[in-house]
Amino acid sequence: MNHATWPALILLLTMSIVIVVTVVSAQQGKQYFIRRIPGLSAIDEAVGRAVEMGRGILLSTGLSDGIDIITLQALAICANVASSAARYGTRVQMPVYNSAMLPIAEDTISNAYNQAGRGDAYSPDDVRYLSNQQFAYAAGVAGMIQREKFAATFLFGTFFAESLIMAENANMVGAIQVAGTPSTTQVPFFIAACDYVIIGDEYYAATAYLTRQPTLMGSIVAQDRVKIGILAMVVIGALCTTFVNPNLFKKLLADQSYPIGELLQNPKEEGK
Amino acid sequence: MGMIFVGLLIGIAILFVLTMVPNRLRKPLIVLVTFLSGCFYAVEFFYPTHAVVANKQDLIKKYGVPTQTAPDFAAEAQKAGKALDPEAVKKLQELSPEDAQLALKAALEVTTPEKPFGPDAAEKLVTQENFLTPKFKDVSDWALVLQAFAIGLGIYSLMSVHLRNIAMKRSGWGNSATLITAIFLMAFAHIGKEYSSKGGWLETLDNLLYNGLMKNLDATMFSIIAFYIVSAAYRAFRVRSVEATILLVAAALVMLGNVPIGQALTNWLPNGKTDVLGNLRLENIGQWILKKASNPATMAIDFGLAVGALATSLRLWLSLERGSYFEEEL
Amino acid sequence: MNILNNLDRRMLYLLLAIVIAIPLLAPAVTKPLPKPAITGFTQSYYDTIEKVAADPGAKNKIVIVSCNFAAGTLAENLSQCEATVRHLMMRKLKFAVFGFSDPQGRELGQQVVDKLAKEYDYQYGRDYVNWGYRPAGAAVALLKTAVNDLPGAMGKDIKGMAISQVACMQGIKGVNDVSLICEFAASATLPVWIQFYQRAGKSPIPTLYGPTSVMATEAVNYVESGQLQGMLIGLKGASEYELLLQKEGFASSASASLSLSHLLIVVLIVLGNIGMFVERKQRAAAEGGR
Repeated sequence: MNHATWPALILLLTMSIVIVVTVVSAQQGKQYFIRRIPGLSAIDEAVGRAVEMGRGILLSTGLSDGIDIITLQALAICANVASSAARYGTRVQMPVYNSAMLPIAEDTISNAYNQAGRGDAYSPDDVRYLSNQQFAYAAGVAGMIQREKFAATFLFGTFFAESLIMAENANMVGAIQVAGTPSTTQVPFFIAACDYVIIGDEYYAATAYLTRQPTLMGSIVAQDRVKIGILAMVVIGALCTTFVNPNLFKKLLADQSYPIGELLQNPKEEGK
Repeated sequence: MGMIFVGLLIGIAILFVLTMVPNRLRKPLIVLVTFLSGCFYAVEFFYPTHAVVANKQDLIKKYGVPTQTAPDFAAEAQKAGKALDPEAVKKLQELSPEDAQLALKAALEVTTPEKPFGPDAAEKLVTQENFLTPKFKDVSDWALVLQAFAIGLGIYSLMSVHLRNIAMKRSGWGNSATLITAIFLMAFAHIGKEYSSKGGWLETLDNLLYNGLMKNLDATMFSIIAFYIVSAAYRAFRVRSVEATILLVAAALVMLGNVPIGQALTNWLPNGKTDVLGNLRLENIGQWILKKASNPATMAIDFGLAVGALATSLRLWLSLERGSYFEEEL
Repeated sequence: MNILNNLDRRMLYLLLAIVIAIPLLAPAVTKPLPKPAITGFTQSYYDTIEKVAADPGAKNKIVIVSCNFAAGTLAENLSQCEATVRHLMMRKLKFAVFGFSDPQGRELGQQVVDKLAKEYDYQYGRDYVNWGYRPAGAAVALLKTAVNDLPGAMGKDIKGMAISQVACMQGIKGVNDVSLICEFAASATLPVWIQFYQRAGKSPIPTLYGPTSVMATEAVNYVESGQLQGMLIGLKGASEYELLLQKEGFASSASASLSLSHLLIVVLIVLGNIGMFVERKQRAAAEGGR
């Protein structure tokens, strides 16, 4: 879809309004509640363990082609970890994949140190660019893990095949691991190798859960409201197409009047 | 080359001016620039489109700049001695006068007695866009250029960390030296190759470094995953609880169903379309798990993620976010 | 028995290396092993190319072979790409090699074509073209522009020639002149095609997908929804495809390695569980005896 169709416009606009209104209402003081997420409660445990063992913490925001939403979200989570680690005087290291992310990451982590009142402990070497080649980055991170013997690793962001290289290496050095990714294909690898895994939209709930900021809490509630709306549409749509008319919504959400399947059944039609 | 240099100078000048913006104005400036940049993509996507002629620049090159008057389709067709389908003409008449002239010329050119100009051919000449669509590529190029600036930051970061390692002779400083040598050697060979004669020593060097070394190192890193999968699976797939057992059984069925040896275990079962027993073949069980169990779960997660991404995007675009990195005094 | 619980991981790695290497080094060993069964995903992939080739209009159109992978996933993606290009050549379809995820993609794609070109008498320019690599950050803008003006958006081919001047690109204006998209990917590049190109034209373009096997689960819903017409799942899909084409290549010989390594993992999982049970029993006995 290169341009919005009317149904797409209405749907996106409605969803956006629901989100913005809920976020603004939360900012104005409305209270919202979100349930406990075990993977996120584990963050403090992991930081605590690193403090006890006197070893460092690794933060990775995964792979990104540029500055994207997923990586910014990962960075926000990492900032929280860095801030609580700084409070206890534990060193965090963050290898960065994309150079465009580097200044943002540096700023975020040094701010996190400042927030914890330990701005002096931040070293520019702690946030560093490694490589924007997938496996060069993975090799670099694996090397860092083996050399530094981190006590805890936090892997948040977009991951592809390198997820297991990083997680298994951390497992080898006995690190406690918390991972979270929206890349559904990598979740199984994280589950096999990590101690705690945050899946699906828990990923987006993470910052809200950790900081309890009204904006983020509002956003999470808004997302749930939108999802309930989508779910209702799916159920109503399924019931209507099953019992009323199979072609009822055919033209509504498709930007083409017929699916490719039909095209392939009569290929000649196309060549007319 | 001259243009690149001028561009670079202007870029540096803009960056310099930006550093002089007083602190209290920085946040509103960021909010404004973020909103306006986001607006471009949003408006381009949502603004209603109208019909325009496809490949306009090519057609102008071919037929010259058109005038502002609407062409007379019937008269022009008669003049050229060619017949145009009325339905097709109707489609072309939706275009602006300029575009219609170009489309008509293109239509008359492709029309032959054997291949009359029908509505299908007309549709090929017409495309939908709004006033921002032609600018889309330029704006994306700007974004790319801005991101390209960042590669310098990356190299600076690498250099500062590793040069310090070398200068202070920290443990493993030899690795740092190797890394810096590799960066320069690779850049030298790859850029040099573009400007040297074909088959020269620079090309050989680049070939050696890129095809001989980097590609293989890349492949090696990927293949290591196979080993890690074995140790991770060995550790993780244990019958510890009901959930873990379900996971284990499903994984084993999919794995066996995926490979010929596993498939051979049940290939004595009939596999016709009407054979009920065929459903028990391992490959069919594996496919069923993939399509009917794993797929809906993936889709449900994807819905959640998409909504999460929409919410986060809106918060950033409208600067509603007051997260850890937006709250700070700039 | 406790040894099963504390098995050195290097032992596991060695076992795996042996199991993978033997069939590749001594192919004769694998002769008695069974052939893979053809899955629906692979069959529909094959059928789609056949149907596109049967369409008389396809002669004036082009197939996009999108190589979005690097040497890392060469074993899986290159085999898929090779089998597909072979099929396209068998059916005399014009195609364009292209990639926007990794610069290595265009070279690996070219490598495949070079290998097969002689056999099927394919010439650069006349029968196929290599558009080269474009940065991933610009991919969306590029494809959006390529909807109306494909040669303009792509600019020059790898030989530095304007795409509009290349012989096989004559008459190729935009999205309506693309007959098929074949995407071979090691990262999430498929949605770009689906969102911005597949349905941008007069009629939707059939799209085929060759992901690494790990990524296949994410694409199953596209197959189910009819947005993808077929999929080759990793090396296994490629070996099935080679079987369908009756031209056995690397994927077929590697299929035995794949079989044995899967079997090894299943055996190790069983052993790991036995180890766990034995240990549990021993612990229970020790606690009971106290």
